[in-house]
Amino acid sequence: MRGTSRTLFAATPGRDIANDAPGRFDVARWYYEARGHVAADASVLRQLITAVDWTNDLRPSQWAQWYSVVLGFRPDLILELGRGKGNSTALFCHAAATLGHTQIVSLCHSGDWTMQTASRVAKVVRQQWFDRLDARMTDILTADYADILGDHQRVLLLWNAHGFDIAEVVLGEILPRLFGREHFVIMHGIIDNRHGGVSRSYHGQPLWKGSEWQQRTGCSEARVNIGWMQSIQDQIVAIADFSARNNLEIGSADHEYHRLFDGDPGLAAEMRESLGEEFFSTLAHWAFFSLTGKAGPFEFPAVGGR
Amino acid sequence: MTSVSKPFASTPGRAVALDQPPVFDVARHYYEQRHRIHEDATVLRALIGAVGWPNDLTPAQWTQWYSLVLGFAPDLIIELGRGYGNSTALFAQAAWRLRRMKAAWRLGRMKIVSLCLTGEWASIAAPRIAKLVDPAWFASVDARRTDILSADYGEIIANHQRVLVLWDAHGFEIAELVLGDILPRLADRQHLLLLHDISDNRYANVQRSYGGQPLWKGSRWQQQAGAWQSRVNIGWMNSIQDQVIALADFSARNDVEIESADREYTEFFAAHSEYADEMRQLLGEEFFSSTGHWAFLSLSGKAGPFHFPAVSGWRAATSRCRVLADQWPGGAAKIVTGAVPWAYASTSAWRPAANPPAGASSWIRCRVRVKGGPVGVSLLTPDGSSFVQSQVVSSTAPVDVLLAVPDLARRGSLVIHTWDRPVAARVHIDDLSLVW
Repeated sequence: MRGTSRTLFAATPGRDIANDAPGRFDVARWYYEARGHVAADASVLRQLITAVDWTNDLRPSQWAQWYSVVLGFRPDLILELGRGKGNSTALFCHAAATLGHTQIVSLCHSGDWTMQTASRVAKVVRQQWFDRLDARMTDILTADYADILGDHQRVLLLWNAHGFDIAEVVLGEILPRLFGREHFVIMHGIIDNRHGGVSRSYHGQPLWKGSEWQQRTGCSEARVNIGWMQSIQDQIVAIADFSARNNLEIGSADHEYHRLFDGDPGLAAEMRESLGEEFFSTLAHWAFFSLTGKAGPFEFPAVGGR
Repeated sequence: MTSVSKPFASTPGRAVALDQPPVFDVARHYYEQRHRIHEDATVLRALIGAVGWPNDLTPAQWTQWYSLVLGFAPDLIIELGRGYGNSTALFAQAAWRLRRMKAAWRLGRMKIVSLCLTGEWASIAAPRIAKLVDPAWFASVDARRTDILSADYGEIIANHQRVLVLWDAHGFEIAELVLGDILPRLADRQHLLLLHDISDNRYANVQRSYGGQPLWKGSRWQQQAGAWQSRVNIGWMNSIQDQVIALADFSARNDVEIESADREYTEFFAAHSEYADEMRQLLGEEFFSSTGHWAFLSLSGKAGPFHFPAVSGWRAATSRCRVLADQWPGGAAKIVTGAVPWAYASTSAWRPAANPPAGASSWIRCRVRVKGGPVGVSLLTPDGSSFVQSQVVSSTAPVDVLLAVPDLARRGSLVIHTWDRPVAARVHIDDLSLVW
């Protein structure tokens, strides 16, 4: 028996999605519209990338994509969860310098930015470039987000720190504070398996058994797929759960870029001409979401330990 | 989530267009078996009472699975996870029923191989059931107390051609075993996997709210934290078990739908309200419900090729050598354990006949048969003060016990001993090997 399949939680009252405002954030359009800025800043972006020297974490085209997000969204605060060597920190600082009004609070356990990267970046930029950055070496789980968010009204959140505990802080602590303000959440490390010929095969790898297992065993090649989301990080489980409970679509940058640039090859040609293959790609490997413009009420998890 | 196209849409996959219509209609089975359920209601009720653990399986779920076995008529049921034995009992009753109906003769008698670490079936449920049924009722049941991860599924499945698997044991390791070892063996046979503890949030009464609970963070976290109210939703699947993630992954890679009993029952009986009335009248609310809280999966009738995960741990071992044990020459022995919990019956120093490469993970594989028991097969620390690893086993059929060896250079003794109950046993060690 196969009947008409209902939507998730069809038998349970939820938020009224009919009252959702049309999507306000178009990452592909931002990318296209920022092409002139990216092209103009290509030289300094390239120097920053070299100064950070950790392209494993973020490719030049991803630099350009996130740079375009900041320019397009124009946040008054960027909250960076996970910094590592500081690819995103550097590009956010440069975008903030371009915008002129954006503060950046960067939280990470890692000291690489302070001890290695910042001094190399300082040779590329002026000292004022750092003024908007508050790079803290701290535990993301213990930060005071009410204090960090303050009166900011337009917040870009980079979710680039992993595990269920951080997912709980993001979904249960930060997101309820962002609801009511314009916000946009970027999630790194999520590939859209619908695009780019992502292999279906397990490739002789065992089943993905969670991030902790992956770190313990070194089985770094095992991947998990939940719908279109492919990742090695626990938080896609939490994101899928949040998406289901709240009837909220998780956006795929891969999908958005393919939609716009495959749909209009002229725009893609223009991007390629402006930015070259170095800074233009329709592969992004990140996802996004926002509650802005969406009708509530939303369901948020409780936060353990807070 | 963006739903314009299917997962892996740009990657060649199996030819879904060649799939045959679904072979199994669980809702129709339920309806068509209504008279048999009604006829057997008294014995089912008595069995439920004897097992005495309705938390694990409601009476309506008993009849849903009972109808499934009667309708599907497998020649083998593999039960992964037994606990107190709700499913064991209903499967055995269905086998008994089919035998009397002679419906299964053309396929041979149904065999039930039940694998679980727990001992409640042998110590609690089976003695109670024995007071209710003919001794021959138990003939179909091979209830082994053993580690599901150690079992030899090639041997269990053998030449069976119509296999029902109950997947009621949890965690990623067992998911890997099911998807990477058992399912490939079943792909070219008629088969059906029942997946317990998965509710359909579209149809079952499942709350959207987190209910003031923290985020679900995996089965291990849940056990450690005792946060039993946290649940995870992966699409329509609502559960507390890790394997829903593995199932979602398998489903996406293979473009195979995980099916929902809640959906099948609700849609079927909504489309045929007169059937629902008939079921309600005949079976009552006790034995009829359109909510199942279980899912199912089958590759039967589906066009391949399929993608299966590799299996890790000892199953990935490619080499083997004999183990030379001082007390068990030739790697075989007959040992009698005493009726004293934890008493050692035989302790033996051992060494491998060959040396695995440095750094290779290795396991002792001990093939045993146990009459009585349960017994433990354990590896001691070098000073003999504690167990490095210990496995319980009670099975008259030969089963493998796998013990990870942390350091081949510092080997503790192997020991055969009584487990936690004062029951003696005869232990046959058929083979002793090291695999890596």
